[in-house]
Amino acid sequence: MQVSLALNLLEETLTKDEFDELYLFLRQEVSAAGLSQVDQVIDMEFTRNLDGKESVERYTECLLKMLKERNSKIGDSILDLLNYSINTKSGKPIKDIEVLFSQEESKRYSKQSENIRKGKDYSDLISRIEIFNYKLSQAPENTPRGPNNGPGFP
Amino acid sequence: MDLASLKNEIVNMLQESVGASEYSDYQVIKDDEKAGKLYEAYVLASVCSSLKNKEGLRLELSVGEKIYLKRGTGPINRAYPCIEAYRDDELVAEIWTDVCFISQSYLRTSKYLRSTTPQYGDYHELDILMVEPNVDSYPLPEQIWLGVECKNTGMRKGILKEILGIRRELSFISESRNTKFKKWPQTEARSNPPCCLMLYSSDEAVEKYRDSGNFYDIKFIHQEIE
Repeated sequence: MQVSLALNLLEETLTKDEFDELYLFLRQEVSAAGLSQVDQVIDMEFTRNLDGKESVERYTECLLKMLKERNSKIGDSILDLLNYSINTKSGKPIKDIEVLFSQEESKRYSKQSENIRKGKDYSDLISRIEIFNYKLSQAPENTPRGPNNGPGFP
Repeated sequence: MDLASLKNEIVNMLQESVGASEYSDYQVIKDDEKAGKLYEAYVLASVCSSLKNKEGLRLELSVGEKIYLKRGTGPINRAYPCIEAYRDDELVAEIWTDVCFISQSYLRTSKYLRSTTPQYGDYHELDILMVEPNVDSYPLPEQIWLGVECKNTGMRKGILKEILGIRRELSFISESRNTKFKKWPQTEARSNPPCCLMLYSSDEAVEKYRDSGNFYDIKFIHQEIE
């Protein structure tokens, strides 16, 4: 009974090399989905020095965070927060957050500012990554590591 | 779960979710810059919330119903709205975004040796600047109540060096002096003039750099968009 349980658990685990392969695959797919800039930032700033399961987990964690920041829905929440603290002279709520262009840009684009609440809705992808993260957490890494959590033994 | 299943999950979640929600109009400001600006707006909301709830100020947009952030930087431009801060019914300060202040290095250089108008390194930008009311052009350090820098990137040593440089150009280290605040963000600052300076970062690693910030009286705050 205990042996079959142990075998089942072993089947559900991935080796460090498999996680490294998964990390590369994940990066390729994220880039192919039009998020190559996000992928580059995550790799350069957060996951470059990680490997194994830790790199995949940190990558998806950062991807989730960055998509939430880029999600058009977040603009509405920020607007609510601004309206909580700031009144207007007219008594009406603040209705938008805009970014002003320089004089040169205004001429070039024929507009003085741009609304930053408009954009892509990543809500569905965010939910799916959260589910993926849960599944990932159920797949432990089984390769024994060397001293000080160093590279796995061959 | 095995490797193949996890790969399938990745393919499915990305293929089905990305692309269907493309925004159709051409956007000058792309996602990365937009995320940075949204973080700035989020920090502005957070600072305003503290000024209202902890400091007891009443905040009012000077004109219209839109908050404007800037793509470039420059002096205060009164053609655009700011956030007015009232204590009781008295206008005590104004909050501007993406505005430059005149540096101590410019002010302390003999007028015979410096340019007549500040240029290049003579002024420095902060994302959020709370200053005395009715200031036009570039605020002077003694007119500044509070400066806030917002960083929506991984915390790097360069950011620490940048904020230390801002502190050096804003005020000199000194014995504690009273700030303009009664409670929040602080009633005393070890700087002259006693301007409060805060660095907000979305990366928790900002906490690791807190010690040098403490020495120069810079508050390092980790805050993510929730």
